[in-house]
Amino acid sequence: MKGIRHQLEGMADMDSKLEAFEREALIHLATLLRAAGHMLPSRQEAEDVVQETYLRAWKHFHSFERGTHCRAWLFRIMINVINNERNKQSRRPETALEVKDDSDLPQNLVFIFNPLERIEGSELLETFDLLTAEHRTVLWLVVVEEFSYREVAEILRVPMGTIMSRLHRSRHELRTLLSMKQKNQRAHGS
Amino acid sequence: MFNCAEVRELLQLYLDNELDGRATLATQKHLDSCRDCTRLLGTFMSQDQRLRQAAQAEPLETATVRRRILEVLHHSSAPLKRRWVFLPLPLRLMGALASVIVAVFLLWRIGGLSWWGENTYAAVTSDHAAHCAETNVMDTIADPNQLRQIARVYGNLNAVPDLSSLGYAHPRGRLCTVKDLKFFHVVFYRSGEQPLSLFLRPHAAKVISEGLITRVQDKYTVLSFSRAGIDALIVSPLDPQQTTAIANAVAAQLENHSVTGTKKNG
Repeated sequence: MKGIRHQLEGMADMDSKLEAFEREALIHLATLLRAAGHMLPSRQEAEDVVQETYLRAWKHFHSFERGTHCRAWLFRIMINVINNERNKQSRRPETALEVKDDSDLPQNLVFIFNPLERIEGSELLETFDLLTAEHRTVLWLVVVEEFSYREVAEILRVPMGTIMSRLHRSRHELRTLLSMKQKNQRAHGS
Repeated sequence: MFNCAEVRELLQLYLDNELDGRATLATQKHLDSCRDCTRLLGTFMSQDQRLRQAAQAEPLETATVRRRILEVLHHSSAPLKRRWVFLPLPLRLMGALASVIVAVFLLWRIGGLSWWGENTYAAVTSDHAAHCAETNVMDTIADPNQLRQIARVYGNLNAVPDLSSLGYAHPRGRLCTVKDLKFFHVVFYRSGEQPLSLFLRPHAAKVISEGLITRVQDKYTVLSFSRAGIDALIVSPLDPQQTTAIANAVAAQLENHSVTGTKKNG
């Protein structure tokens, strides 16, 4: 009888653990899926990575300190999953665009991107997806997810100085791509 | 007060609220009187804001993924005991007896090494013997570039292991299939001796166990290990001690040339 009661208590513990997991971790599903969609080449890969992320998070939920930053913790797991997948597939590292600094461009092009000029959200995201995976990741974590530099450094396991330089390059590259896009649109009257 | 060059260095940190109070005030003071820097800041602020808005407004369907995740979690959480405890005693006893019988059979059949592993040693030995004979040399490739290509695709290596320091030269290689798995097979030659074979493939746990295992198969020493994400089997005409020395040389090169670079003990 004692054994059966212990089994039933165990089942109740598991149910409450699942509830806690749904409450604390699963609420970030949309956030992770959206980010993965822009860090990976396809929707299917993004879904697989997010599923694997949650499976790992579930396995280690006992070690997660409730009330602390669950979203950052999940992102750290997801980045590990993505890196493991990339290593398995032996993808070549991408090289950043060659635009190094503003002096590469005609000076008027630097300010050609008029912040008030309408650009569709979908066009902006399409242009964003042209950045390298490394730049997309850091820009997404800082700008969209609004993590601090320290949090991003912990998620990506790189020094803060690396975060800052990647962020600088990625913002610059996105600005350059958007400026070129706008210049082309004006030239073709669209 | 900061000048334009200094502010441009700090603009990103200012934008992301990563500056301390003093630097923030100094930057703000400069921006209050510098149109160019203010425009540049405005450009980045607008870009960030638009990116954030576009990302958050992007339509997203999560129901399917959520359902799959919950199914997996429920399945992984369901303890076997939950079903076990409600079975009648006779059935539980029969289940325990069946488990014991299976365990005894496996121990007897396997003898500490996987069934797959036992047969692999025999298979690579016979493959080695078949391809070292003079008549079969033409089955193998000698061109270094082609060998490097095969090494990369099937062996997960950026270079073919080089045993020239041990007196082995002019390797010849091929792609072979052993137990339905593809291996990069390299044959090394040393003057006055029978050739030596190296079989390489990306690590699979069921193929090769992690530790160094040495067997004597027919008249050969067969040695296996796993290093840097690559499984390796050596079929050698030499004794186990000499073959182990060769294995150490190969292992060091696997660490240097592995495509994945994952280090495991071997």
